[in-house]
Amino acid sequence: MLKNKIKILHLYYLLIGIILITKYEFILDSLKFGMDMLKLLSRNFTAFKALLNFSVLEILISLFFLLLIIVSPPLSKKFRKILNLKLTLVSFLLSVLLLFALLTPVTATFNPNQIRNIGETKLLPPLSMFYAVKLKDKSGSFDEITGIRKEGENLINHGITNSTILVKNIQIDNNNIKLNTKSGTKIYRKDEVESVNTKLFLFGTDEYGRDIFSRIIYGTRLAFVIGLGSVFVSVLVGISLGIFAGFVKGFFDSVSNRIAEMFLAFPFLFLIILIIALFGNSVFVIILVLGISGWMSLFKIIRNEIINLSERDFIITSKNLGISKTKIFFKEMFPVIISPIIVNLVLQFGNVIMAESALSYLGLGVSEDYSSWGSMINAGQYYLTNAWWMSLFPSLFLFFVLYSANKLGHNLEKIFNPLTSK
Amino acid sequence: MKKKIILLFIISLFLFLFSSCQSKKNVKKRVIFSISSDLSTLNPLYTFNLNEGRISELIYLGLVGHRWDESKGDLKSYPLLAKYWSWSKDHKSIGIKLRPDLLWSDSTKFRVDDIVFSFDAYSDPQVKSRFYGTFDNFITDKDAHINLKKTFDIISDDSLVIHFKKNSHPKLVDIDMPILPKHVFKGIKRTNYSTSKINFNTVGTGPYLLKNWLKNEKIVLAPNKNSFLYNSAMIPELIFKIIPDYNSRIIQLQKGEIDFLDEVRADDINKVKSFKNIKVVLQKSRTYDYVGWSNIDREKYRKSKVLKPNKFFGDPQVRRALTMGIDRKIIIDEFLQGAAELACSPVSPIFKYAVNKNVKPYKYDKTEALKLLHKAGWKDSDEDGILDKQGKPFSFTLYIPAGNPRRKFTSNIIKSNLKELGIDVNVQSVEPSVFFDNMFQKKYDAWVAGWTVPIPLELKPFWHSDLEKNIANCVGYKNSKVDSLLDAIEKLSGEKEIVNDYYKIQEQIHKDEPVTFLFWIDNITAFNSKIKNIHVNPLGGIQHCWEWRLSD
Amino acid sequence: MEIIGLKGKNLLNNLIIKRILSSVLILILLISLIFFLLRLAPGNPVQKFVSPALSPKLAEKVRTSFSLNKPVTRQYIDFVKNIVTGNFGISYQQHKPVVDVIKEYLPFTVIFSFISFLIQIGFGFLFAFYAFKNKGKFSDELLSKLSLILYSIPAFVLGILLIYLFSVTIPLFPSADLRSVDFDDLTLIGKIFDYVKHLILPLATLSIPGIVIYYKYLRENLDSVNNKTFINHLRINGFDEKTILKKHIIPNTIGPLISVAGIELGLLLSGALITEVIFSLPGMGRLTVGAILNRDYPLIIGCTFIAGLLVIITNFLADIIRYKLDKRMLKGI
Repeated sequence: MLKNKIKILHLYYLLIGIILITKYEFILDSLKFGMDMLKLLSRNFTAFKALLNFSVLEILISLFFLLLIIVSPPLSKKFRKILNLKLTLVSFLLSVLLLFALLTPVTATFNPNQIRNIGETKLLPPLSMFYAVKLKDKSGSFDEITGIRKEGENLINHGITNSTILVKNIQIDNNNIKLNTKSGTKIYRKDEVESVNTKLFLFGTDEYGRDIFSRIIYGTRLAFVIGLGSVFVSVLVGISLGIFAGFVKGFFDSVSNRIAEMFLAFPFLFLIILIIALFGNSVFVIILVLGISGWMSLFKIIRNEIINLSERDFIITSKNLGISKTKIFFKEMFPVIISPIIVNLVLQFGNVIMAESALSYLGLGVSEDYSSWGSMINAGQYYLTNAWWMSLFPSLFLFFVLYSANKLGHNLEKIFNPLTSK
Repeated sequence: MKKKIILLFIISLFLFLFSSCQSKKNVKKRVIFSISSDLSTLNPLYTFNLNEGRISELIYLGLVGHRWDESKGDLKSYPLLAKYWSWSKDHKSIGIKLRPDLLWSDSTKFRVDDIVFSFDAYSDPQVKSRFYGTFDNFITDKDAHINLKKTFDIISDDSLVIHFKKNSHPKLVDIDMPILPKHVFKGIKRTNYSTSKINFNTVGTGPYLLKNWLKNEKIVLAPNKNSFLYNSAMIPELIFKIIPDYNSRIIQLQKGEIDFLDEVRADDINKVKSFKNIKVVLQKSRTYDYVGWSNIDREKYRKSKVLKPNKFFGDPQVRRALTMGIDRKIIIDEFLQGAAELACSPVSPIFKYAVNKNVKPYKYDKTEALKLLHKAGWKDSDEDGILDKQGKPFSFTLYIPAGNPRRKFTSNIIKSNLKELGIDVNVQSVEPSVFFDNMFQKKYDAWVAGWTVPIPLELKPFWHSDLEKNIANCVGYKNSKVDSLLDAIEKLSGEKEIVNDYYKIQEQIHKDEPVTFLFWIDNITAFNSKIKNIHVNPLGGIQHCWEWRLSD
Repeated sequence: MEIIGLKGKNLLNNLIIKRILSSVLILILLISLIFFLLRLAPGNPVQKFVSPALSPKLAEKVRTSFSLNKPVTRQYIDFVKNIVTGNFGISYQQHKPVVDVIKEYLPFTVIFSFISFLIQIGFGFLFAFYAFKNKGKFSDELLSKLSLILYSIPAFVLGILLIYLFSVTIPLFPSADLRSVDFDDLTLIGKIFDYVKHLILPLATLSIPGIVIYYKYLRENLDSVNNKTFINHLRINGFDEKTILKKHIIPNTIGPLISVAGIELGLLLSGALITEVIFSLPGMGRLTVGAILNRDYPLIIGCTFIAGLLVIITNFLADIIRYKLDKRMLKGI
């Protein structure tokens, strides 16, 4: 059957191919920009520092990731092994999402927050084609640093700067370019225009004319950062408390157990909302809050496993042999408890992303500097009658992530613990 | 068998529901307004929020009423509860004669005592009303509580004289507040006014009365037959429907579920115009957006209350350069779809009598801006693309309140425009309640926000350099000429001189450019064309809605 | 027999007392935590009650009257004193005692959640039972696939999907509010149908995720009980399948179900919050979010107190019922 022959490798070729073909210009430009920045670094450090901001950094980082992904199959055996796995629905979804999260600026086609010609671009349906007419810069010549800065801005905004006009209809005759906008027709001489490009709004635009596809890609990265970050916090709190309670027992054990139960019983959303509303909605606060609200299940698993295990014969024997507690833990216990932990983490990852999007939906998520799926869905709800795409696409992506996490957790449980599943 | 019966039942239920959805259109005579959030009270002592004030003004009337004089661009007062009034020769006391036969809605007679009681309550520190502390022209004790004995002279059952402070300059607005029914408030402890049940059981003199209030759903007003403004042709029911979401309001307007909507967004004008039976009115507003530049060194001010110039924005030249360096027109064209006007001073174009036409907005001009910055000593001496002066780079954080896309858009434009001048701007959005708290406490160097200019025109709270008294002067603007002009206006009574002073103030403020004035945003109101005799004006669309009529 | 019964009763009483004490402790800890969080937070909640025209001295006076200027410990002592007498203070926003405000909003949320709870358990059980009876068949497979899919759809996405399908595309139901504007003019039957019409989509949104959870849990439990040795013994001894199912398998799955229900009820409150926001319904959830966004300190504390109380009561009830059903569980509590 053909179905079984498709490997992740094929998907890898396809995706890398698509990226290289559609975005070669962006990649080449950012390579050149990276080189220029390096040159600047060697000569003028203060100027370099002034140019370096988050938007510039993320382009360079994603460029680095792209190169890494391209060169790793021949170099890394492990990577090849992964690529040779069978392509399933879950692995397909996860690879695409992971690629979006790692290569955010490279895969995006617009700056997710840029508002440009709002009257023309707002609420466009999916697959709308537009012309980006770039006018020549009148300010004349500029020095090298300004040049590099402009290069960077051009990259950050994916070629759409303040001197670009987005229009749906243009007519080109001998000397003139005619732009037909809703508010009237504008005519430019050909020598006034630097370039005319076509731009595609793959998933349409939102109420401010921002590209939904690009916003979803940035949202993917945000979801992964928050998901992984919070899970990491949960792991730190849950595991350390769990191990401590499991070994120390006694008073500390019963107290922490009681606290965990209290946390489990409380409708946590209320407390999360409260903390975020009062202490701001930076990514860091959200990660911390979501992470802390998810440690209980991990704590319970680890504590119960450790207490159960310490009563087993082989552990008691090793103890009697005088092996130290830490050694027993890492040599004997860790391999046993790691599998339920991993399953729990995968499910936890899904839960955190769900919680984050619910918060954003309520208007309490990460600040509007970042596009989050939840807030996109929230905005889209009000435009259901005339712009279904605004909420559909982010909802789909949210569903994809949650489905893959749940399915993966389910599958892992089957592998680790074949007895409990049917 | 059982299952089938249940299934049948469910199906018939759905059919019934479906048919009941297609019920006939309601033809009841009424007007449905939409408001974005529920009111907390209709008690005029505490109507802090704009909608609360507007609705409670329909229930509680004041002594004088106001209409907007479009040709002059100012308020015109007319007698409401008062039949007429007359100022004394020295303009320090005012005699008021009430309308005869005024009745409260519970049929109690309206008495002079109600007026005295109202002033007493509004100025009582225990009551903490929204007007508390604003009775500067009255004779008060040290807690700003009006001295009733010295202030009010009750002549008869329907006339009284109000005496003002010796050196005061009283105006008609000083006695302009909704009058409260004393007999209803009697027996309630003053500290309990804000929580008492009277907030939901309105007894007023106005043309409408509260009929029903469903929390978070709707507020229903019905005519008050005891009011002297009552007319049988009045709209028999006003409903204020609470719809928190902007777009649902637009959809309901389209479906005919609401009849009146203000604050339509500029990019929706064409859409709303195309709705059936909907009229759209554009109204110049008195609200402007601005970029605040702290004029003063905030640290020094906090420590020793002295006003020293800010290291970035203390120099008027720099502030002018910043204004010239920001393409304000692009925000109007791109974001507001042209439904705004460039601002150049704090006097709104609606105040036609006071606007100085000779003051024109600065043009967007990068080279001129750069020249000014060089003149002020800002040069890129270390060639890192960023201007500097005495080793300090021109780099600052611009704060904006979160959740406002217009401010976000504006800040992005500012950031990229100023970057071209060699100024590094770092934009940060802050949760609104924290933002405004910090703004008033002068914790920011630069920010984007908006102000609404009060009617009647008043500039002193925003631009007078006595910062202890005028906390709305958040930038810490100080110009002795403006100070003395502002002080003078309070004392002047001749209109010509006042206008002359306003002209001078505008010229001076434009020269100093204490903030970058961005634009006056049009107020867009949409309403059902079945409403006749409606005059949308700067005082708000629903003002005087008892004069509206419905066409059939 | 008798002695064991008596002992059990004593144990139950002890348990109840222990539970009540620890619940009170948890509640006090909870609202104290929120109290101190609120005092730590930046921003001034009473700023909007101070008019900008007021001189700073008088403004300070207004601010003092909200007694937020006193030292925090002093404030806390006053706060505890008030709480003990059942006085939660006065809502800044609504100018009414917090207790009165909550009285207006609480009934809706309780009734709404309770109806949804019944729907969740009922349908969850029905589907699980149906799937169990058709074990291994296509419909069982379909249900288990479907449950994973539904489980991965967040409540708010589900709500919007339902609005899109049944309110926008096919205009069957209204997309918001609890009542129509004409509610007062309707007849009694009209009023009931008006409520039903408005509540069908919110109930579906709140219930579907719960149905999936109960379904999954019950389906697995039915299986594991079915594989237990005592069931097989009964089979060997010739009891017919129907009796085994009715008398033995089902009763044995209900006990653990109730403790799940206890935890689920707590989650239901969060679910109700989101549903109330999606469909703009006047319930505790929206009240709480509004109070938090407006920094209405007394109301925030009142709302969280009620939320915590509801969760503790439901968990408590679940434990008691479980105990009644299965006395052996007592040790486990």
